[in-house]
Amino acid sequence: MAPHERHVVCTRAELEAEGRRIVRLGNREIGVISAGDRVFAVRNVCPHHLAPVCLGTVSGTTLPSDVGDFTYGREGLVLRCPWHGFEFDLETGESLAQPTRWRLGLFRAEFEGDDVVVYL
Amino acid sequence: MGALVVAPQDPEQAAREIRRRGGHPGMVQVMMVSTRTRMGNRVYNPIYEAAQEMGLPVAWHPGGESAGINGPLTAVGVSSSFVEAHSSLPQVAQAQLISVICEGTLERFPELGFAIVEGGVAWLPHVIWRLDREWRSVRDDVPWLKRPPSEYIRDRVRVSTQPIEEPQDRGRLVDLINTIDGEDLLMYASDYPHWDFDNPDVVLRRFSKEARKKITLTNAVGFYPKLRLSAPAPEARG
Repeated sequence: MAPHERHVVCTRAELEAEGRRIVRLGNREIGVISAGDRVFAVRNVCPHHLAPVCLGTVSGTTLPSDVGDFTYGREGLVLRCPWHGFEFDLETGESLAQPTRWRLGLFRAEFEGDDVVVYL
Repeated sequence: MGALVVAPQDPEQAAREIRRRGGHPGMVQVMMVSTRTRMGNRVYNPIYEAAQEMGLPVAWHPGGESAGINGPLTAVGVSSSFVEAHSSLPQVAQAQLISVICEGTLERFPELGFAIVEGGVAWLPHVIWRLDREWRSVRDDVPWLKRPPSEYIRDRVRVSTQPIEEPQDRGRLVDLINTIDGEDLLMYASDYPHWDFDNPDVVLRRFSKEARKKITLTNAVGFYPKLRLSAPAPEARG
């Protein structure tokens, strides 16, 4: 297996100021999204209708609950596709509605010193 | 290209509006929403007469359900969430289609086309088979129907695809549509700019090339008289 390619995308300060950055790495468009002290790298293609998913909102959502109850959680960890509203867990890439059917392409992303690094 | 949306609660006024603006070159159909009375009812005859006169098919589209002075989204009660309402909309589409067929609207107005817009498509085999089965036994109740209901649908009714049903294996929907030779009945719709639109590259990819051409072009050109007048023949484009 080929070693991962290491890409420095921007500085940590830049990403934290912007919230996210869409970059082209090789032939892939990747959304680099900051969430507190974490960073996620997501292939910018929604598995549903091929939308630029990384343009969607990042927030929490209502968690599975008792009938009639609304419980908010997963703050900053849910990416919602701007086209049909599919919610994706940024940690696993899985859609919340149908985890085994719809899943984002995720790549390893790290803060390394002042750098935001993505490994393809 | 646009639809002349009329208020069906006052059919005489709607007919005047159709005659007033239906000649606009951009208007290809009349569009109606649900009220309290099914669309096949004779109270709407002025609308159908005017539409036929102006060369405009009449389309049902959602929007009137549970609104204003109209009836609830289904007769058995209203919905409490978007998903409940939207998942129930095809029932309304079916009810309107069944009504238009059984009341003889397409017999009384022999040039009129009828479209279902934004009702989905996967219910079509059920309605076609159900109508024909029921009609066979009680033909004498509706003697103005001179042919099986399915033949009126094939000749005079078209159904737009959005919101298309999305089984995990999209080919299953193609199989389902093929059970009624449905590629002749469908017209691709995006419902742009609504968020629940359909990307045609994704939702049509399992249909054959021939079927995709019908669904995205020739079915609509054949159905809308005013498209026929303005569009070059599909074959001529090479």
